Amino acid sequence: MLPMNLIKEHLPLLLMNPNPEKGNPVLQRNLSRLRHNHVDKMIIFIGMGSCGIIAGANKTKQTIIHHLKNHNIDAEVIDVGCIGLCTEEPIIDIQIPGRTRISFSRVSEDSATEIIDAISNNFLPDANILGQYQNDKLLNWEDVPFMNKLSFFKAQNKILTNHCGIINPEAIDDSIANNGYTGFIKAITAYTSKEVCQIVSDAKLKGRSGSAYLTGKKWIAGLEQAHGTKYLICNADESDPGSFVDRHLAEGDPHQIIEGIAIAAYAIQASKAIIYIRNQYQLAINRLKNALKQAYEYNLLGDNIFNSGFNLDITLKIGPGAHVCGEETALIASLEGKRGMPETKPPYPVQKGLFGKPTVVNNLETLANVPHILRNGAEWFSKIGTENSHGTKLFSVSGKIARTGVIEVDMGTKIRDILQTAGGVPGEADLKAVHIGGPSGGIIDTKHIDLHIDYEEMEQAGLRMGSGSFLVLSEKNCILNLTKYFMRFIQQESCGKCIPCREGSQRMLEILERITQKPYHESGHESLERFKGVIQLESLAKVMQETSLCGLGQYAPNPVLSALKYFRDEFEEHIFDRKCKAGICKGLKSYIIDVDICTGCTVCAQKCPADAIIGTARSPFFIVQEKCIGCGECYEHCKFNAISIK
Amino acid sequence: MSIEIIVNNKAIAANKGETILNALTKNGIRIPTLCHMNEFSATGSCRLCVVEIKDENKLIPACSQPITEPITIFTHSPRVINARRTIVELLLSNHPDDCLYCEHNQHCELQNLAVELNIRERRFFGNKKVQIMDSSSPAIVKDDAKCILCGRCIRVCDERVQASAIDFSGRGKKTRVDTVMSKGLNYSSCIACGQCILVCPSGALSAKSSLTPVLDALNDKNTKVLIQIAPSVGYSIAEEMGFKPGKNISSLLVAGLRAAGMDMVFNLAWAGDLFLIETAKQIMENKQPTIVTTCPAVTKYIEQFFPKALPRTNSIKAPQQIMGAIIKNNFIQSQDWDVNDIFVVSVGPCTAAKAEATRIDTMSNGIPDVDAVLTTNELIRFLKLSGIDLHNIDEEHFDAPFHVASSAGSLYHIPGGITEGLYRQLSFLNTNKAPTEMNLEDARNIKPEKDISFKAGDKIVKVKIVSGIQNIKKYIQQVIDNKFEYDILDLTACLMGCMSGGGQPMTDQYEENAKFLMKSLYKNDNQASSKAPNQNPFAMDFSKQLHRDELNHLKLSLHHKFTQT
Repeated sequence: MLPMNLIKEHLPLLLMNPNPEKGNPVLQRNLSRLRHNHVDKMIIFIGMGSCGIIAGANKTKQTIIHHLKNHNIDAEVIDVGCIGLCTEEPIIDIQIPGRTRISFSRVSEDSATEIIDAISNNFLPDANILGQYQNDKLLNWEDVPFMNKLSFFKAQNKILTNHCGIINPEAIDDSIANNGYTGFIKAITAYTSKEVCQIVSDAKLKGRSGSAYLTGKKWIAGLEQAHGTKYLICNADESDPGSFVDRHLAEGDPHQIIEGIAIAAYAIQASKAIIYIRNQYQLAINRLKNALKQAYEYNLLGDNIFNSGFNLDITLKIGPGAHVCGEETALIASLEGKRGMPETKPPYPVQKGLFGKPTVVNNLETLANVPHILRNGAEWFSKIGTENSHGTKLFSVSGKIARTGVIEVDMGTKIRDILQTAGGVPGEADLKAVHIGGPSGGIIDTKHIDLHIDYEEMEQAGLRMGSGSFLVLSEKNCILNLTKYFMRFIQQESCGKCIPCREGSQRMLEILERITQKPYHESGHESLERFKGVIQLESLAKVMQETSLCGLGQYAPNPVLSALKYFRDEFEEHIFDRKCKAGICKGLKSYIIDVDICTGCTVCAQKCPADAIIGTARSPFFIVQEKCIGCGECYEHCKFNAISIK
Repeated sequence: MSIEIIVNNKAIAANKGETILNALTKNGIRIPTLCHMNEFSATGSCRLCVVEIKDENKLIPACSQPITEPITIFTHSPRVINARRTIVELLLSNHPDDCLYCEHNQHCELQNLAVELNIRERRFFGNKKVQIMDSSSPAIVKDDAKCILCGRCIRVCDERVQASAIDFSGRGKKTRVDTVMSKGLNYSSCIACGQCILVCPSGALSAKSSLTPVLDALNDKNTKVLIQIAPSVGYSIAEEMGFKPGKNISSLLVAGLRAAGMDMVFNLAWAGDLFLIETAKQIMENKQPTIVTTCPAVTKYIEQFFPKALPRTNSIKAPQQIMGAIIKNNFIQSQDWDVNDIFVVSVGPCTAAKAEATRIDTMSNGIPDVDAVLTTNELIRFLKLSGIDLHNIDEEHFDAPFHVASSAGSLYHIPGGITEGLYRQLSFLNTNKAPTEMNLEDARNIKPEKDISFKAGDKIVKVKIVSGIQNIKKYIQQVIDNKFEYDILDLTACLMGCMSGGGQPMTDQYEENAKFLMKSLYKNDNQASSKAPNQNPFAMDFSKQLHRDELNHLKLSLHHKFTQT
């Protein structure tokens, strides 16, 4: 075990100089242990991110602890976050003295004991091996691939996620031993606030929340506000469907976030900072709370930090989880105890924000970049990425893809490379489309997957990076169904304040719903209205974009517009041929009973949930098309194949 | 600092920092707005005031965008018109379309906008919101189906009235203006002042109509219908009835109401006199109430938010209730009528009066003082419905005994009117003769807060006159804390007094109208022959009877029960 308070006692030394070459041998040995260069006994790391827990990490952990106790194995069990490979959870890593840390995937309760027995006897188990972490000072396991050579990690540049899943997120010592807080201490001891702003400005860091506003510019504006109470808010109200980047960072390395907040607060001379996080992120909330407590204990927060005269209080506020509360003015209203509704800008929050005071709101991922910029310099950061977009970007990959999880790539990486990293579309279906950026993002077809991850390039293609949701669609997905989903999300989450967003999203959703349903009457009025509705889609979208109050409404039509741009034929197919190639839009299907084959067994009529099938026993039945909801129950249950789909 | 901006290819001058909307309005360029209200900060929720600014990607809302540099604006470019039209079309696509049945028909901003933007075709179809009407309140009906969620009522209730009875609830298409826990207005902190009705651009908020019970009573041959007319009504209805705005047509109104079948028409100013006589007496006897008000909204506000101030509030009821109580407990005996056979209607500008009439604690033995309260607006509708043409009718007088009133009794609809009446009555009580100078000129302005001090005999009385609930709070708190430096606090809930009450005829310019009507009332007062309550013989006589304990059964019903300590 680590001697009590060892790191705390040597804090100034460590933070000013992370690699003391000479000095206290006990400290040296423990630093080496915390950096996993050297361990005294077996250490078992269990991936306890939200994804791991859902996959059953808790049960695996219990089994392991039980097993260690029963067999008197001397080992330490440490919870870590997720390494980003969510499909392979539960992941456990084991490190024994002298050997490299080795990682196992999909470790069930049964396989866990086998793996531990094998490793503790210094040989490899048969299955579940994922890879080993390269460390020149330690003996490698034979025939085990290095983690950074795995196809999932090869193309990634892990800067923000470097410690996620590796270090213990609940121990500040682990963070400090691995360079944590050095950026912050460097900022408050070596630079003035203005210089910190300048460094971030030079690095051309752009906000990762969607609007891509230059962070340095925002900070300078914040710093220039009159002295007095100022606030820094870390926006962790991540609520786009399919986006879990912020959660990943907060669960895997909470101290990195706190360090970023502390630097930002110093840069704008704010003595109060608030982390606004949605209540659904319970694990992240707990880890951040714990991290805050530890940072206070180490005097990394509080009054007169490191005798610099800088005071900082960080509080954690739990938001109700409304999508609109991610918009900065709505977030501020929510913090003030009001209903989360956006306000008009100007005045901008930086002029008049929380409780009327100057307030800078930064996204969590943006702030996680800051410590690295301070540690390595603006030049280092601006060398990563493209001409206009610097640094790395995290994507939460999900959908029809072999490996889902969080991927960190350099700006400028091709979308195709991300797809490859994530293992491509599994099974026989082909890739159809990629949707990036959640409900305010856009969709592209396969012809455009050589597009680079770059703010300008994506904007031109009608895409937005947004919060980094990366949704992969195969031929078995229906584009209309997806746009309908996002439109429904926008409609349900619209705060209801401005008319274009509230009413417009409702009408757009209804138009999309109408396309994906059979018209009740084949001819006449209804078909005409349906067709007219589609003509309205684009004009309505334009008005929504131009006139909506906040970003939520302004970007809400993006999924529809990009889908119309790249998948117009699929829309036309739904409208004119009334067909959904992917077979998703059930409302378009017509089921017909062949009177020559039907025996009148009544099974279909009994199964029909909409009472759409009528007839008398032992004579042919009939489907009332107006009532049919297209669920296909009758088709599946007909023993005589009398029902056909049209 | 002045900046030159180009609007529709024409240069106009604007001040730095003022909003585009302000600059445009100043220069006579009108653009449509829906959520905008003068004197309130912009919320930018309706997006109808959007204008095109050169080199801007998006359309900019004029109501909230300050002018900081010379810009080129197009207020009615095709792009802007298309956006505005689309927004109104979207609103209409979710609107019940029952204009013909709507309270606000022809007084509706949404209707006007549809006309202005030349909407002649239905482009958007879809589901309309199905929402239940909230008719729980005795004064105000909230119909969510017609609500366009502009938020004006919320801002008025929150910032001006400070009752905070309503706010948004729900998200997306389920967004609505709601009371706490969706319990309905009657269970909320609503004080029924009706200011929300005045600002509602569609028919979502309206005063609860009492016309049907009045018509039913008129239809019933066995029922005597007695109507009492508040002093300002004769002025308020003039314009809508086709007379010169602000003209006093009370005598014509009396004739009209009789023609419409009312059995007796009484002047509520008589009760105004009695109110002043009784209150002045209480002050003389040192049973002095600090807070003096006839306003039912203020009483409700104090009751809900400052219950500790209730013992310091005047216990005598408002004139409407006083007259009702006297009719039902005293007057009918002289006429030999049964209380069940009469129906007392009161007409005034106030929605809170509707709520007051239904309060159980104003009733005696379960019989309400007043059976139905009509707003001025409803009275106009009643006259039109009854086919009364006030232009072709001869003037008639109010019915005895409640026909004569001093002009002071007519002033209680104006902030400061009570103070002026009290001054006259107190002077009389102290010196036994009317004061030489009848008017309190300092009280005769529209300032929300007025300091008055007058001499009643040897005594100097200091009065604070406050109108508008937003200004009232601190003084009531002072009264509770015993830090109030004046003798009397004269309160009115609506900013311009009762002339800007929630039941006044619908117009675009409430404030101007209110000021104008106020002037007319003062003009009448200046010309009146009897100016002090003591010059109202029947009221004085009645008061004497009360204090000789001849009317004990009546005495209690003239006082609020909740102020009894």
